[in-house]
Amino acid sequence: MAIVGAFARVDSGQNASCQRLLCELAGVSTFEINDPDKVGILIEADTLDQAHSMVSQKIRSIPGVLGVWPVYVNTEDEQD
Amino acid sequence: MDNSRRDFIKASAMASVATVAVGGTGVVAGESGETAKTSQAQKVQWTKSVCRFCGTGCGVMIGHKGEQIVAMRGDPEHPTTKGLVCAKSLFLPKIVHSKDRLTTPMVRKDGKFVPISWDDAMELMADKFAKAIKKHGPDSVAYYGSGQAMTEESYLCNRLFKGGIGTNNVEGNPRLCMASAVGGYVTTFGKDEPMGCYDDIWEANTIFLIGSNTAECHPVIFDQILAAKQRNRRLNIITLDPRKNPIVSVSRVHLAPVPGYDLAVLHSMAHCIIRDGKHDKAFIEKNCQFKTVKDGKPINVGFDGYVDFLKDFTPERTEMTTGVPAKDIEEAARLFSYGPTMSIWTMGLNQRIRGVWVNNLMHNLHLITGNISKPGASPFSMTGQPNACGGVRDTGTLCHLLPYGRSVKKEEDRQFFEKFWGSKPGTIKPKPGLHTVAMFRALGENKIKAMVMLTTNPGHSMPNLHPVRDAMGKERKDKPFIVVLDIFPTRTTEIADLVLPAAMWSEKTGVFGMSERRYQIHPQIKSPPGDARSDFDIMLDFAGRLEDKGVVKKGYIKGKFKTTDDIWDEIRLASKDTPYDFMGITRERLHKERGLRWPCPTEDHPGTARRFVKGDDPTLDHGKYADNTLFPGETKFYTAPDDRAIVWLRPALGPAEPADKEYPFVLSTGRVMEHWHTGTMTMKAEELRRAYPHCFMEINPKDAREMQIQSGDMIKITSRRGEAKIRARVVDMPQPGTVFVPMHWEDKDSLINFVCIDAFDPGSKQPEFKMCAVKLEKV
Repeated sequence: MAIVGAFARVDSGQNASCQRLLCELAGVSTFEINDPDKVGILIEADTLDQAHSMVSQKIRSIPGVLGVWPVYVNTEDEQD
Repeated sequence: MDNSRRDFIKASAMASVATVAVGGTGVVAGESGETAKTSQAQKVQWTKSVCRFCGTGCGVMIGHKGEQIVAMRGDPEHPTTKGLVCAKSLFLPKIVHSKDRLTTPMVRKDGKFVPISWDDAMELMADKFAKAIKKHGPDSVAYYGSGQAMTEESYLCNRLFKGGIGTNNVEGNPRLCMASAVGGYVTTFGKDEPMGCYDDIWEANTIFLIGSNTAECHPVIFDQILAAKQRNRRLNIITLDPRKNPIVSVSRVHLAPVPGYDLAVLHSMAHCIIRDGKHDKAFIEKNCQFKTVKDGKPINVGFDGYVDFLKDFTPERTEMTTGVPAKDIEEAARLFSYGPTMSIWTMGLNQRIRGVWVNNLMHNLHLITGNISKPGASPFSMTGQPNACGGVRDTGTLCHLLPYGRSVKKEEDRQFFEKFWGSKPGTIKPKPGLHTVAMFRALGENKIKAMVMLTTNPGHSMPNLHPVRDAMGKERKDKPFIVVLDIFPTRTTEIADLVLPAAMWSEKTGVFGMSERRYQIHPQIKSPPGDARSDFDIMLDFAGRLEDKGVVKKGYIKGKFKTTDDIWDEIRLASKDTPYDFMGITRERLHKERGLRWPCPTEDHPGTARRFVKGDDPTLDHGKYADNTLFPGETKFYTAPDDRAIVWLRPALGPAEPADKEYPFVLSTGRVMEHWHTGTMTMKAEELRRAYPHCFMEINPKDAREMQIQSGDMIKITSRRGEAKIRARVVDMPQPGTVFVPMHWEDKDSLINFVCIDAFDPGSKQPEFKMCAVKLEKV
């Protein structure tokens, strides 16, 4: 299991629609951040590979998402 | 992983995001304090450090359990990057622990590498160098370093070669990435390095991104630009790039000249600014001079001469020569003069045969509008490596420099360092050594007999690779002896004679100096794998053996330093009373604080946000450059001749090898977000490698249609120097007549640097990676 914390910077006024589209992605949940131009994202995937693909391909292509910045990646599970 | 552990990690991940996203200075739940605190329940220790990759200098927190690095996150307490990092950084644990790490010294015997003991390896290295020096003189050996080596390592090697051995054949890969920026700052302002800082992003009303794919190459800075734009609705972005890079989507104006012809666009913007009376007359009168070069000598032409020169660059005429619509040039000039304006550039300006000139023209725009050394107003060159600035530019580890703004050409500078270092008088030569391209050419001619390279991969990264690789590896009579220190096998180690396994980043303690003059320390967290040793330790050992063999003065280095901590105080002293003065950046402060920006002359000084400004730059308060007649906020370019920065009238000339009938396309090389430079490290993280498993060539849909090329087709790209076979990606990013190829993949078929030209800027000696003529063929 890979766990990645990230945030997406979204177009002003697009926060709600971006959150809705993000939540439709498997393994992705969102949470509120005290900034209307950002959406907090938690990704749970079987592998880091899948988590990275989620960020680099699926999330970045959502309309209104200007960019995605992963902030926390845990590799502990793979290295134990 | 059990559920409670997973829940804890998820909570940590969310807390990290929340902390970073609001730009706060809080800490992750379950932890407290500043550094090296232990979350007892989970036994993960977090230590403050700095990222290993680009020149942004992101603060990171490294999570480790004993010798294992298990997690990474941005450091929310970092004053400029505020907890943000990119994907590359987060995969550093995997890279550090890669099974591919070099762990034992290897020597080439009968064409194959075999293990060798450290003692035998170091003796062999020292013996080869000593014999060459004794038989052929000091200039028969050379050092090729890196903007990824620690400051202490580069300084030590510079000290050894220039002041110990007595050769200026000291170079490094920053010659390939930012030498033109150095040339630009030095010729305009008298000394190197940006005067501004990242804070300017938040204060600017206009940001001019030129020759910089910030979104992919400096993603943390790009987020700051986006955030600043969302916070300040008046902020406009201008992009100048022949390619439609990802920044264009958020830019108000995209200037896309024919590759290599942007000098005319910048002159045209200056023309518009002055024509419309938007220039800052008072600032110009007090702070600027205007020069051109005639018969090889600079001459003053005055403001009127400049205005006269610009008459040839009306927007309409410039549109005809560059392809940029006149209305876009007008709009860019209007936005630029509105200000405050920050310009950010990287390789698109620097990797050019006109690199210094185009850097000068950027400074011109800032000088004539007074958009400089004020909040939000700065001409800012970003670097691509974590320590090109602090480690190589500042320590003077290039063939013409001495530390902290001194030059080998100046007798007083040579004498200062001969005394300071304890060299024999006359050891430091007045003639610059061989610059990078010339150094590898001399190697191919067997003029250099022994060469050591560390933390870099010239067997992949140099342009026009065939002769470079032959120079290093081709068997021949009197073939030079090549020593390479690295952490992974690379395209360079494979053609070396001796390969020494090096410690990486978190396995040694040292200082990185990033783009905004901030010096930061990364501490040792774990031991190097196997028998690997730090580059510092290896070069210290090497220096001692050269002393024993009589080619370096006894006691010159041996016994003086044991660790990087020991040499730091000497480095600080070398900067004292120069415009770089960082006597106040002690080891203790580096460990405690989140980096400090020089100048920082005393231990109670907070560091300097903007240079050349009274009240901010301490250099204007004390010492040689002090001026107490200035009012707070006043600018003085105290390093420039007569304290006036130079507005240069540079000819708007094009590239070394424009497209022609035989080679009808222009090739530009660059980078993608997931990979870094020659991929030595990022390709070791499977997740990053699989994000871009193969090299690709971007081609415009119009050209693709005409050549019946589809995405996925294999294309042979041929130049006058070499060829590469790469799959096409048809996309509306490169302009018609141009193709774009990233440079990260080491597979020999797709290694694009075989194709690149090694023509270089006559001033900075930086090669023109950004454009050369090629032909395409479907295979």
